Amino acid sequence: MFRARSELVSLLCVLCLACSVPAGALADDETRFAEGLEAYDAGDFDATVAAWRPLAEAGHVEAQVAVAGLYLQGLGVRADPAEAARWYRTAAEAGDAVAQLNLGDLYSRGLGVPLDLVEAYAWLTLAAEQGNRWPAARRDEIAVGLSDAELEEARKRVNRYRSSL
Amino acid sequence: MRCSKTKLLSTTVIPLMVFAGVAAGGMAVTGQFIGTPAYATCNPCNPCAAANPCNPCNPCNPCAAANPCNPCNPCAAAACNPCNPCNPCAAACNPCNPCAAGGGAGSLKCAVPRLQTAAACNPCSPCAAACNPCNPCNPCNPCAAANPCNPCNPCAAACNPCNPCNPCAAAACNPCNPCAAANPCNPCGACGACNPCGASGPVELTDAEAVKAYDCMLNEMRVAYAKSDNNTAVNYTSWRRYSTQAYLSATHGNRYVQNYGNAAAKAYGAYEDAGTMPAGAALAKDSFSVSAKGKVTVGPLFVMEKMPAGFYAKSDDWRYTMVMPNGSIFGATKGAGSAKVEFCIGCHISVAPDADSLMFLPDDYRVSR
Repeated sequence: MFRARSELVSLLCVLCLACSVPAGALADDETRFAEGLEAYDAGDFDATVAAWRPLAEAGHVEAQVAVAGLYLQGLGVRADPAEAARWYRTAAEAGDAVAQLNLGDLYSRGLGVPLDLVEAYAWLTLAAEQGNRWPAARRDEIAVGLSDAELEEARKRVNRYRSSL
Repeated sequence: MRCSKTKLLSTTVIPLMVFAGVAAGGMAVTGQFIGTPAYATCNPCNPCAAANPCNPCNPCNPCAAANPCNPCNPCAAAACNPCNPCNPCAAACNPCNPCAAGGGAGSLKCAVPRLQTAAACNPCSPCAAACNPCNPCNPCNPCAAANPCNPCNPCAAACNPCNPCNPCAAAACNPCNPCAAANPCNPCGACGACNPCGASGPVELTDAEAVKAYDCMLNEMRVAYAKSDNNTAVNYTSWRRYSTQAYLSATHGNRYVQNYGNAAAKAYGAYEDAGTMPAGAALAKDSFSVSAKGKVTVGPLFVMEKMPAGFYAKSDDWRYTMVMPNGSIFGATKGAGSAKVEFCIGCHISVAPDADSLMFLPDDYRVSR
């Protein structure tokens, strides 16, 4: 009962927030994002970061995924896999499939996060559930090395993360 | 006897175990190995483990917890990861260390040695002297001082334009040339990383270096693009390649690219005589970038697909898509987020207004018709 009520409150908050954001601001965000993409295309990574990071910090999920990629590759910023993982996690928790598969990939390699195949399995599963074949294949590779108990734990995490998305 | 046994253990067995841990960590990092066999030796129920105080997995061993490369340490794989910032060895030998490979991530195995060496010897690099005892620029290196042509010797070639050992003395790009140094936007800046503009200029590889870098990066690019689940991104390498090797593309961010086309795009091989492509034709360019310090990084996959007539007059009916190295897809024209790739249309139309928006590669890198 309490949970249903809190979900309703969350939904109303989201709706209010969506209504309070002017359409012009959304369009501006997309324009700003496109400017960053154009700069990225041109190899001007400083301008890319200048365009995308403020968007990412403001909650633009696509920009969060893009900024994570910049941190992972060290383009326009000092390479920082931990920072990349942080941005991927933020976007993954917002339900972005690309962020989920990359976060799972980082966990499977211990890059920017501790090596954790159970966590990798969980995030790759969530990405695979959105119809992407790559995380499904990677998850199945990982599953071979997991014990029954670890698989059980991974599935619990999948359920937990799914319910909080 | 006990003493020699202990010595044998400490000089042979423990280093071997540590080495095994490092190897396991490395394999996990490269993705060739995803299991955790090291944990098996850590089983506290293993009577051998518990009985041996020198066993690195024995929790009573005070060294066990402290050694980040201990294979029994659950964080070992991460700690032994040369890119893990927690690795105490990272600063000195980490190829991800900005003092080593040149800062930032990118492919460790595909870095360009010539550029790495040049960057390491750059007298402006704060890391050059301090980090690497084998660096020829390190003043502690006896060879550095002895070689009058050592480019790192402040009195030798690099900084003395009159030094006869300096093959670049006469060149305009010599960073010691007072004219070059005075102009922060000297187009020769790529020759000297001291130039604030130098870092953003194109880094040119020799043909041999470009071939080697592409061959080295190909699998990494394929894996990266495959994350997108985009059919072109998964299959493009099975298409015909129209470039003989990777070449520098100024219109794609000064990245190194190769051109691929599907069967419907076979007319692309006629280059300027290709005419208008039929619907279904698709062209793809994979790409990698090279930093002034030799770092090689996967770039986006650029895709253009010819759609049926009437799709979008503004783009000559081409649909543009950018597949990012992390699997994100930006574009596709007239699809979701099409505004993001409008710049592709503008660029292709302006560069090739009478050639169906097709850009062609330099003559030297075209496959023969």
